[in-house]
Amino acid sequence: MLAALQARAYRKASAVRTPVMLALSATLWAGFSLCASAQEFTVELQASSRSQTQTARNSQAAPTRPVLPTGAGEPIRVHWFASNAEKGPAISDVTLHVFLEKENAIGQAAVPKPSAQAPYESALVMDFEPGARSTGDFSLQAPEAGNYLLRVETIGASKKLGREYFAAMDVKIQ
Amino acid sequence: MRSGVSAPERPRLADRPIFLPALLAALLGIVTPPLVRAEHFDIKLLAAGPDGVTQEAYADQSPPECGLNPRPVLKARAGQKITMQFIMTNVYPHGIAKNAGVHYYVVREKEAGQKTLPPLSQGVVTEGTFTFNLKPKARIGAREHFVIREPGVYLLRVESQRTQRDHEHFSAIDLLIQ
Repeated sequence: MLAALQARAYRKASAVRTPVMLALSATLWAGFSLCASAQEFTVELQASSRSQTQTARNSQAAPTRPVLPTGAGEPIRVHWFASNAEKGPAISDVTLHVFLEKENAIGQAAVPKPSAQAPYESALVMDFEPGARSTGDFSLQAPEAGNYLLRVETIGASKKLGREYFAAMDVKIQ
Repeated sequence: MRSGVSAPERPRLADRPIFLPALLAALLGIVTPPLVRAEHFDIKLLAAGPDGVTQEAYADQSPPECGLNPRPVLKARAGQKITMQFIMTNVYPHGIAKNAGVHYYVVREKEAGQKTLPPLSQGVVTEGTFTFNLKPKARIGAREHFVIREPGVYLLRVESQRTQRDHEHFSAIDLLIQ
């Protein structure tokens, strides 16, 4: 009798508990997701040629990157930003490194190291307090025909965030 | 503060080591670059032509908008590749200037050494801006190759913006394209 009551009570409690647990889990998951995204450092890159605009944001080491086609000598307009989350940790001495450098093939996995002949390279260093943001905006003339990598990357963010961040796209100049 | 010092026949800019390692090395204190001390900003601006001639300019301040020091002149031919490079260092030791900026550009001007800034509404060859929180000892640098296709006189200038002081710093070189 007691066992039956206990079993019934357990089933009843279980019936109530399961949806509550599911709702709680969903809430926690949503909360964690929001937290993760709120704490994420963001790097975004946008480039425009006469005919197209491409955007890359917090790229991963995936084989596919956006491709911006343009012609040699034509203007390319580039805009990038890097921002720390409102609730992110303060990160000191982060270098924001931006470059356009020739690569062997569109989408290649290896990141070319910018040489002195790189058509464009820049770097700036700043401390990223929570919510801090840095931006860059520049125009350049598309260099000679070939495949190029346009990339903005952090150097020094990993000491607080565990990894570096970047955004990249290929530029195909004909 | 020093400005307008030209240094002809220097090694080609393109032959020098890439500038990010140099910048990072300087930031780490491994190398002390031979920058000239200015009140708030050290600036070293270089322009190099394809024949190996390089001109250098250092920090001046505005107002007046074109400063007090004469600008060096780099001569090149239309269609030749020109390399510009600058490194700016904030030597003001106090506080952070939020939302400060750096602006650089190459724009056509009427004559070499003119004392007014040409408008950026036309004749711009290249232009760029950075916005960031400027902290003591911060460094900002860029290098870019470009080609000027029309003969004329052009102004290459890099300048600080919104540093929350009563003046800004800049460095400039005239480009005489024949």
